[in-house]
Amino acid sequence: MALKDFEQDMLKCPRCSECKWIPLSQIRSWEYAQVCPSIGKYNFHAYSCGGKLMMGNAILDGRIDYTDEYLNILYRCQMCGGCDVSCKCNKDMEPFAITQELRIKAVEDGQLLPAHMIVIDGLKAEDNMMLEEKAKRGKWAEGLDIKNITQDKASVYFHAGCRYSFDEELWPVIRSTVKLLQKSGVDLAIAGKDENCCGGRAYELGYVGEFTKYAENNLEMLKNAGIKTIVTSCADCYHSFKVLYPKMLNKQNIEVIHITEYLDRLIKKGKLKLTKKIPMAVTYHDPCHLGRMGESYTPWQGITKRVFNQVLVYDPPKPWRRGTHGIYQPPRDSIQSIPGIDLLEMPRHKEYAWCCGSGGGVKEAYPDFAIWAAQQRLAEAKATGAEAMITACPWCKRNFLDAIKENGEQLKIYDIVELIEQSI
Amino acid sequence: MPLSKDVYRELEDVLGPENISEDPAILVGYQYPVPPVFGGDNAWSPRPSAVALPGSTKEVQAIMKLSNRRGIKSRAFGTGYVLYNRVENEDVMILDLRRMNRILDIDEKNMFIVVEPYVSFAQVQAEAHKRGLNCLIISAGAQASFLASHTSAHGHASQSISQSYSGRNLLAVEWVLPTGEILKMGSCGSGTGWFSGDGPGPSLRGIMRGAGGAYGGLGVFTKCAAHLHPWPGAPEMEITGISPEYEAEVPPFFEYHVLDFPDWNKFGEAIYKISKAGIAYAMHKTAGPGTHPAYVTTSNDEYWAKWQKGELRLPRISLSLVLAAHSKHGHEYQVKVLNKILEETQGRITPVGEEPTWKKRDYLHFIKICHIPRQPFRLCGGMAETFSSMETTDHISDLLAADEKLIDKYMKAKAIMDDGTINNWMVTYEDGHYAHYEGGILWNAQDQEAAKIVGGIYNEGEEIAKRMGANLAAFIPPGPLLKHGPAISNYHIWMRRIKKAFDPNEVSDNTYYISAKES
Repeated sequence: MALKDFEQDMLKCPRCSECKWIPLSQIRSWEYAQVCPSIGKYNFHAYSCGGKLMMGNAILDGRIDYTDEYLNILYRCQMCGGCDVSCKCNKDMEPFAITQELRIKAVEDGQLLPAHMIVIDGLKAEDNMMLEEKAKRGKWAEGLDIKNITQDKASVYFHAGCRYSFDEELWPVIRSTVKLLQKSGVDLAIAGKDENCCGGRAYELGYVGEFTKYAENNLEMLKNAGIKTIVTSCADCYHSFKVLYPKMLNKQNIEVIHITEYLDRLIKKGKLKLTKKIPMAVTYHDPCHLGRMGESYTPWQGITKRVFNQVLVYDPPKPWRRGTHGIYQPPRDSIQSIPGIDLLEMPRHKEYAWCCGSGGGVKEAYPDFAIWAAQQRLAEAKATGAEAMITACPWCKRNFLDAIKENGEQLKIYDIVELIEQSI
Repeated sequence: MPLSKDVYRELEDVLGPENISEDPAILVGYQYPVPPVFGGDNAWSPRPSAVALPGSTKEVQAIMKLSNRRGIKSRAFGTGYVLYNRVENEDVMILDLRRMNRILDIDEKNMFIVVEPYVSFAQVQAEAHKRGLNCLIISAGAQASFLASHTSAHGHASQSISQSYSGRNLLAVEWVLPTGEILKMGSCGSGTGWFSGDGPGPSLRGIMRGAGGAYGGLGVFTKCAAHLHPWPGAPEMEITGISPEYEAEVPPFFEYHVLDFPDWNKFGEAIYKISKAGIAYAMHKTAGPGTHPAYVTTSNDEYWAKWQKGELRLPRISLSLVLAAHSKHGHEYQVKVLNKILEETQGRITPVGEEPTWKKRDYLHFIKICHIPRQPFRLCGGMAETFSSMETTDHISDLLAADEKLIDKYMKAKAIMDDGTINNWMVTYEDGHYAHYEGGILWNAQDQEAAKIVGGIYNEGEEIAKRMGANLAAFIPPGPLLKHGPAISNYHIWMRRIKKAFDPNEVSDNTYYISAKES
């Protein structure tokens, strides 16, 4: 659907400002009531989702034109989806989809953010979002005895993603992941240097063409290799495979599993036995693209019809994505399977978790804002009394580590895999 | 017209360049589409000249002084919910108070809170509950500004039966007058704290807010104190489910029911009796503005599907009620009294409110979220009132009956929503002798034909209200009611005198107040 198709939705916004807060019934304190980093930092209403809807109307009907500030408003947003959950507690609207369409329209109109153009040029040249050479992509797996889907048959494909492939400080996480899966008897393969970006971040930046190209290539590669299951440790890649591929290409019959789900299954089946005590109080940060954004996409086609004189309903009923069925429990169950560990919840968790700050192209274009958002989260984590924050996405971990470097915070940051490995 | 460059620079000096903008992309966020029922033609309201984000009283004061010196008009802006936040005049600068968002004090012993403008009801309630206290969350919803409701608007709510309304709960206030002077009202005006709105210290609540507030037309309120009330529930309500399927069990010593009655007279009688007995923690006439079924379902599709199966049918003449006691004995007493009242008024507890999902979701909305955003705006996107009133409960029962006929007429014309109920809403306070009523109607805001017809219902509603002697100043801001001034004690004359005295240079936008000049 194009922006124009959401015109009525944009007009329906009653400007209640619920998109700025976590769902109202979940507000338990003054401190942790906000859900949106963008309005949290920049304050003008335009920076909220509701404000973007008004901006969308204005650009559609020609009341405004693009300005630098317009692009700032559009791209100083992590695309975390917090606004979408809060709005849709109460309304039948698609605010997040509209935000996405605003970005797509901006790119179509040639309104490109220089920082993002650099990344997209890098993607076109080297098939990754990290401005790195493609040839270095498989280096993270050097020394591991693992199949490659370009040569071998395997039942499960492990997709590392751009961040893990090129962020050397994070390599231990995926190397451990591979070892854990192999130890559990999983018939696993990677694509090594032939792995490509999932395309998800390009889509979020508004570059639909680039996304489509990578999605089609990836599906072709997986089809040729006869892959039935994809496992990934990156929440962003998970979201791409699980949600964007079926949404945009209307085809994708491969099972997509995030590593937290897979490990949870292995632990529950007894294939991974966690025995060593880790006496530590921890808290868990829900990555946006695994949690509220990670629920499956169900295709829907239908019409609206009017009932009760004036109420619009969908025929057939529309399957709303409201963050209800995100991946929340498997990571928590896995953490709680570790002997000695004490899992403390942050006030904002699951579908209304505060974003780590790095997503949606913010880390690339507005690094200070990304760090600001991470620091809010670190403070929230620390207030629980936890010694460490666990997450399940390399973008979150990277941004938290960067924020810690800046403010000297003592909190430890782990990927869930690191603790599970320690416990075996 | 944009601000002149030197004025803009002066504002940047006061606020910092990041806290003022005249970029069109920022400004359109403060425009509203105005449907015919509110006097528009679905066109957008004027774009403000700039938006400023003051972060302190000192900055607000500096802006107001500059405004007087340089002839700038401005309007204070809270959370911005619905059309009453728009400006209809050209060249008005918005003062978005979002950066002033602190809770300054909670006096647990004396049961009051002191806040800045951008603290929401939900935040106040969360902190109050931890201390065994509660605040009145207005029907506009828990996301709205606590201060704005108390200082500048009406403030009616389902919990009004035990906690009155915002204007009554207001205590001391810090007010930056349109001239830029700071007026500390009530006890803080004598340096004795925030505990009282009427002294020791100047008591000017009548001038400051009149019946229902100046809606930004009379300077900026930068701090206020307000009453908190006893909360018999847990320090943190236990809520289950993942969005949007949140639910809360009705706790021990609490009751939630939907009650229905054979006619409006019995209904009114029950309200008097329940109010007089002092047993209710929250109570309202069901279905408005909007419908309870919207609370208890997660989408319009779900509501429609269940309604077709015969579920979620709400009796027209009904009340929703929450009882809340601190003890078993208190609870037993409340239930006994309620049963007796139902017997005397031929009322009954309806099965619909006893359905577990309904009960858990509606109870949660009743106490913690409070109403409007889910109801009209999810269902239809458009909401208005036939008329509204604030007066004796008995009179309101008559108005309800008249409104029912009016609404039925427009339902038959298919211009407004008709799910078998009527969406007018009513709450009472102060032992039931006093009540508030809104004749809620819902329509699809994008339906141009319906919008035109709805404009008619509004005019008819006003006529009925005038004919029946309704107090029109109950909900609508004073500005739009100026034409009715002679019918409402010539209040407009008094308002104009206040405006002249407090805002001689007319720097505060008068969209919803009054101009100092005779028109």
